Amino acid sequence: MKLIVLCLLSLLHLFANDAAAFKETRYLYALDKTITLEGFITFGEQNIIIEYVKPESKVLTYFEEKLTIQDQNGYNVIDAQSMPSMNYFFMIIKAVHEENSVLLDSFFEAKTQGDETLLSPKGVAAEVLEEVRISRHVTKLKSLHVKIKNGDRITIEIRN
Amino acid sequence: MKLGTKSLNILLFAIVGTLFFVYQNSVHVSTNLLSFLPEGKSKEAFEIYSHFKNSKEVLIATEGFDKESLSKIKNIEEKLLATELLKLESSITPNAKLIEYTKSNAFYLKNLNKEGSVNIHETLKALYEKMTNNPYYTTIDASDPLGYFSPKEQKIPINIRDGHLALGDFGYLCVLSIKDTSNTIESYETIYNLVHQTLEGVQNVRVFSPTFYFVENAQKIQDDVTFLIVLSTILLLVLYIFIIKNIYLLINTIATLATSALLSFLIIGMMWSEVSVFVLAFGNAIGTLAIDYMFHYYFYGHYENKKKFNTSVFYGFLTTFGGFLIFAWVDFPLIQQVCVFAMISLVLSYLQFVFLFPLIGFKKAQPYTKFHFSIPLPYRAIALLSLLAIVLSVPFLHLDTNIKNLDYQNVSLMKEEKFFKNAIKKEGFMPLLIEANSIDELIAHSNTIQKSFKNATAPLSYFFDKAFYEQRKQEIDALHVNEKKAQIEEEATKLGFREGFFKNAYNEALLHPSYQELSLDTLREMGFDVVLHEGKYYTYALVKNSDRNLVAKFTFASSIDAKEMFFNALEKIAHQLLLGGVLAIAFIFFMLYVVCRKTLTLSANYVLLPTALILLLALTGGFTIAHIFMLFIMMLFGIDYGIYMSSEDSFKDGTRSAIFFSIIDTFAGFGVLIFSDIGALHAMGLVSCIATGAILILLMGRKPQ
Repeated sequence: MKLIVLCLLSLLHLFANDAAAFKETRYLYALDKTITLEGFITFGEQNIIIEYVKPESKVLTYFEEKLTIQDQNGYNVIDAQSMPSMNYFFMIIKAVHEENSVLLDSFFEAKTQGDETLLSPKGVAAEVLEEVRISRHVTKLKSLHVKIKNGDRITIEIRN
Repeated sequence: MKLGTKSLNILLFAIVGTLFFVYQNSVHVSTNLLSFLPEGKSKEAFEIYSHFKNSKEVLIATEGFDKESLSKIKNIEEKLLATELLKLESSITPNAKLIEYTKSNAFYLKNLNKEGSVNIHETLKALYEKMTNNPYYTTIDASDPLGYFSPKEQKIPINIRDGHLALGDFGYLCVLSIKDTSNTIESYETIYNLVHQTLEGVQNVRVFSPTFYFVENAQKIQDDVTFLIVLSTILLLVLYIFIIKNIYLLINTIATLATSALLSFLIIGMMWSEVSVFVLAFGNAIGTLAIDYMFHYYFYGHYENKKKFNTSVFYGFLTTFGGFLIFAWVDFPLIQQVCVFAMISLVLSYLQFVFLFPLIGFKKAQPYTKFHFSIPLPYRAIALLSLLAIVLSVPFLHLDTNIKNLDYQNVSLMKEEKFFKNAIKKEGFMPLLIEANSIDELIAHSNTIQKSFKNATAPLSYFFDKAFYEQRKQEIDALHVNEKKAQIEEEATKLGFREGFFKNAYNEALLHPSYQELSLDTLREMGFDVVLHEGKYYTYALVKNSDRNLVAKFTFASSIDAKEMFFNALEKIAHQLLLGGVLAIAFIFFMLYVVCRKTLTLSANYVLLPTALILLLALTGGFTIAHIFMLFIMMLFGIDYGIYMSSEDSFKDGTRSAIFFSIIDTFAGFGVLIFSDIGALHAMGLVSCIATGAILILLMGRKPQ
């Protein structure tokens, strides 16, 4: 019952903040395998909520560097700071959405050409990331490509 | 000859004044109370700790976690770093040397889980599922697929928001350290001005640095002492003009007091490398004790006609001088400086007032207001009651050993310190100084502290010593990972991992790296606080205040705590203070017995009543060493009045007025200290106000008919 209420609340929250449908493709070098996930992403004032609907229904809430995973088994909270790659991933998404150039400038050298921006990591980000490519349509985010130093690749495409 | 004699005092003043202007800059006046504590292990530890960048960090926080706040903190950082005077201290900023060291010694820097990974297939399967099933992007450590090694827990976790250090829920945080290691007030002032100029006009920002205490307190103390000196001088001048009514004598008296004070100051400056600013405030008041000798000689008519040597004044001088002499042996630089200053100043003033002034000759002014008012006082009952109060209050006295209560109370800065410490979760932690003969030993000690105290943070425990290296090497060998490598590869490929993905797992370089001796420079380059002082290496750790008592068992560690340092200093000199106190009391009773045998009860009242009142005040709490020191001085001061009142001439107009004015004058000199914001001076002022008030009442009394 509790789970149903929480799922409903999450859904209401998603709709209230104009959730955007997206497709995420993860290429895992270690497995030489590509995983595809689909869902909705919502940017709140303080948080980011990602609701995956495929392949499984799961809700991730990123709030104050903590990631809450909600699925049929219940809740699990992990400290994003303990996982640099994931932390950078959320940080980039947040910075791109908020057009926070100060935050992006702290970790990347940006080169923009037309609707596409290439972010070259610097400093501590360069230890983990290889390259980030952002595509926009007018001002809206269209896609995000992240190349990670371990050979992994993540692509997010916004569908609406 | 007569003209020469008349101008001798002024000439002396001119010479000393010239010497003062020439040499005043060579005397270093300090406002730092800690500089004047007795030498000892605690003080040395404090001085060494002051060289660590951790002890002088500058913390700046901007409110909120929005774009504006982030932009603000970045701008502040940029401006401050551009000056090259400050360095950004941030665990999220990569340190190439430390990263390199961490990579090559990973298996020795992490915790070892010997029980983990019994079943290779199951472990690798779990890894595979984690990567494919986790809704969030998950990476794995290819060098340790069986998960033998896990990162050490951070006791004071670093809070990061948006890739920037954060201060709790307040906003973004910037931690800077001062590049200049000279620890001078000038260096701190430069940083203070730089930071405050940069933050000028910036809203919603908070800032703190322990070094700000030195800058702000120094200025406040200087202002406070200047105010006290000016107030006291104006009050005394008004009083002297009213009392002396002889401008020529007034000029000579001021010249004498100034000569004594300036010469005492220069001599003190030659004896000690640093002179406490408190000596200046106290020294000014000492002049009011010395002027008593002039009052007596003037009102007795010694300056008009040649008279026999005044023994009352001599005994009065002798007791005061003797008292300061007794306490000058106490091994406490601040007390020594005050006593030596007082002794030199008193001797010089006494010599001039008693031997030079009669030669110059001054006409006694017309009698001023006479003090006929007197009330009958039961002196015997007062003495008995006072004695009873003293005996009853002594067992309940509690000495306040907190040095902060003697210093300037910088409330606004203390509030900022508490705010930052609470947010960083450093509140309630106490720094420890760790000492060792080598860096290897220093690392071993740091690890001992880290393991012994649940909540401790010993930065150097990040590393391992040679003994640990050998032990870990054996533990790793016992895991027999080399024999498992083939099975790992095989199982991983079967499960769906890329072929050869784990080929570098448990490689020889990671399993058996050569032991790297860390040098002082390497550790500093990696951003760690290590100091080499007189052949010994030092670093620090933070432990919970509640673990304070447990620290004592570690001979290599000493706590860095001003309160404890002061307590230790007091403990060290406790027997000297006690001996000084006993000697001073014995001296007082000896003088009472020798000089005032006939008026013992009356004269004893001048010591007993002020002492009783001060001790009763002490029962209300906050009785510091400054109170004790001033109590002894006031006892010695009281005996002077006991001696004066024992004289048969004491009820004559001139003598009584001289005594009366000298107490008013002392009240103006020492009493103004009560207006001070500095704990020690306020305490002295309070004690002197009570004592002079009590003596004044006794002076107005007469024996009941």
